[in-house]
Amino acid sequence: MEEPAISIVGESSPPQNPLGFWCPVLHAHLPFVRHAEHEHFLEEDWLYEAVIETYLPLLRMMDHLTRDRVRFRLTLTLSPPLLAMMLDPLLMRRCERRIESLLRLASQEVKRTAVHQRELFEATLFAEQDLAALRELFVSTYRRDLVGAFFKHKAAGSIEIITCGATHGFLPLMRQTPEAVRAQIQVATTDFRRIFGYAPEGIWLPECGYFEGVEAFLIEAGLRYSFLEAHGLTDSTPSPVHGVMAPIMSTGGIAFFGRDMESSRQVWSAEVGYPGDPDYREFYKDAGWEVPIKELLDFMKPHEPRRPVGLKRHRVTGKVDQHLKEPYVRARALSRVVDHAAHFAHQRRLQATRARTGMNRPPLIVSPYDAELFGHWWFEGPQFLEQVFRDLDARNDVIATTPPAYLERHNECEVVTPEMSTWGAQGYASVWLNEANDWIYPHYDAAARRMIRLANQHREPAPLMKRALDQAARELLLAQSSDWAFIMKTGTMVEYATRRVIEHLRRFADLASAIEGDRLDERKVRRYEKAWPIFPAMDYRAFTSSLG
Amino acid sequence: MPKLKSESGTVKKAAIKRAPKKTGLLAAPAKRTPVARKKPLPKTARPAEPSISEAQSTVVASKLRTEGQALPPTPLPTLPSSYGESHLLLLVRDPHTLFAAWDVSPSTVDALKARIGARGYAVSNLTLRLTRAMGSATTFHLGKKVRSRYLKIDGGPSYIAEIGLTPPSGRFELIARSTPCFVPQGASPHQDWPGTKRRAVLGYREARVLAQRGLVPVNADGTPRKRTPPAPSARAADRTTSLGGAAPRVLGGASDLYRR
Repeated sequence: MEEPAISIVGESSPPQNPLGFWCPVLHAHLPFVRHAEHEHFLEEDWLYEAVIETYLPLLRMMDHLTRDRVRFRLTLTLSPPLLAMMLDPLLMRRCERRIESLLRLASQEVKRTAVHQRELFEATLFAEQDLAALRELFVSTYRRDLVGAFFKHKAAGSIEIITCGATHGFLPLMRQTPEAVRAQIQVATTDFRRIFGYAPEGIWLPECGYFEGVEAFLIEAGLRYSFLEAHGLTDSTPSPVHGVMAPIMSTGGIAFFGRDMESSRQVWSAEVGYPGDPDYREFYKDAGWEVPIKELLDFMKPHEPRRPVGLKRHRVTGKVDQHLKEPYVRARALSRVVDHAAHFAHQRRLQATRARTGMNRPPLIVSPYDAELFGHWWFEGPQFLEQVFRDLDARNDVIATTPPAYLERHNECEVVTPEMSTWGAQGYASVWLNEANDWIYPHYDAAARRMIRLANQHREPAPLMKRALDQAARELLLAQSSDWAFIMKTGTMVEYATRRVIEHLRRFADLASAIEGDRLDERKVRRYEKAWPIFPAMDYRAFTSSLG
Repeated sequence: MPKLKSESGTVKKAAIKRAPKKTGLLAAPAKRTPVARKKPLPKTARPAEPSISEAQSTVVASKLRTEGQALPPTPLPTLPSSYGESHLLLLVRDPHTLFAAWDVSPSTVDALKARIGARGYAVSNLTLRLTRAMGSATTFHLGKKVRSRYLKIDGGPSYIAEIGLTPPSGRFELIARSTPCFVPQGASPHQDWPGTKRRAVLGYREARVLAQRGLVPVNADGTPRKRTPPAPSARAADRTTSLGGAAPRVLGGASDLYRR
């Protein structure tokens, strides 16, 4: 059952001289976690949760806005591993099965709570209806084709889809092997062109990780703009006149958009951000911890430890223990969404008014977020975004935009040299290089140098040799995902991340040894290809020292 | 019955403590305290707001979490302890910290022993020499089993590290040299811009045309210059130096890597 839109307004066209522009950027990414060899694999849940809680609700939001002829503009990164998983029929079938299981659980819970737990019943009933609506969208409307559903909004001009590193490799720590940086960029853009049929113009650098010189690889791949953490732009030489309120042109030849911290704080911040409101849905309290185990057999076996399954029916309530959380009341949450969206839009107007003083153009407020913040972490996030777009469209003073659209109107950029920066804690590389994960970098470096040597030595390989070289490149790229270092740092799922790094590097070394010794085994190459089916158009020559 | 498998779960902490360190990786030893630094840190780094960065980490961690039943633990596979080549990796972590990791090949050890004698080798210190661009070198004496080290620094713009042996004679015997490592300088005085100096601007459309013609990057004054191809590692002659290499040339700034 589809919820009514919060408000409906007419279509508008942007004014010639608006108060300012707002550029929301959602970065959607997950590491490649396809485990076809197992019917149920826990880490695949990352994908299913993100589809059910974020990607489908975001698409529903876009559909609502389009239906109501509300003007909205959004920049969306779809990372190559995420695209590969969204396009994988097996994973999408499993995702559908996951929705069905959740829906069955919700229906059982509706019956169980109907008599004696009225408030919990209401919350469960909403969850059931929401899941049913999402299943309808996923199966009937989108026919399990999420990429196509996003592309429809791209074709309509509402969203701008951009790319990312091939496997979200953290580029500043690959800088000593430029070919490895190039491969992350080239493979990503090639894959993007294969899927969408056109070359991406923008890129979200993995972890917003910039270093001076990365532009050479971006330009080589046909990319023209990207984003910087705020201090990467404000610490540029010279410091930009307009700070983060206008894009700059780096001396490397790429237009960069700086992150605005004020709008980030209002959504991200644990202390003052909207998602912590007592009426919003609680993330941690999950039916998997509390309903009778016999209802959870789709998710776990009776002897297994309980775990979250994705059915959540309580609200944040306040800083209280989990057992004191109160049932979720949808109407109250939606009321807060309207308040928060109005507050956010108002703050952007004030911010634009302040910033505009001394500027010869309307200021641009760039707000990048992890896409999974909306829906997965903050359940009401998609409704919040929807209402912000409605509010801005109704007032038509601060205009939602995308980087190309802004640059089309305001072509001139100040030329500066940005600083190395990331959007991680401390602003540099300490999240991805510390005592918990530093052991991986000598291995990454050795493998990258070996891959470069192989690529330089084999310019015209025989077919089997080409397949082996391509698979070696895939294994190296998969090992380089910044997610593994992040997981090691945060201390959750560490063994899985460690195994993935070691497994890919061992397979890489195995293939490299076979290539060097001319001892290729077609069955082994095929087995490795089948285990990690990503980048079907892979060309290992992305690792050569010169692409000519 | 469907098979439920996870490679995570209750065994993870014990396993991870064992895993990489014990497998003879190029991992640092247990004791890796940063090298002492006498001068106060320059106030150049401006970390992202903790409340935002912590919230970001929480959100990302929330999408990469799964709790559940682990299969009976299986031993983690291992990676080689050495790749059989002498190599020094130098990475920048933040404006105040570098990370160095190195590998010394058996052939290098044999060559050193031939040069300075087995006894000379035995009594030599492993030495890490860190040279700052247009500055002095700092030397750290380390145990021969040490494979990595965090290095505290006092700002940039660039560094080169060398790993070698220092026999009793005091002569530094080079084993490997890193590529230059460029350090962000944060909001330092380098970015001050004279108010009278004209700021360069470049149109996005013009930049696209220049890029298509191979005329980017642009100079600091906004004028285009012919693009040089990205510096491949194969061209970086000084990325790893064998025994007896020449003194390092430390580049003067981050841009230099791409101007060669």
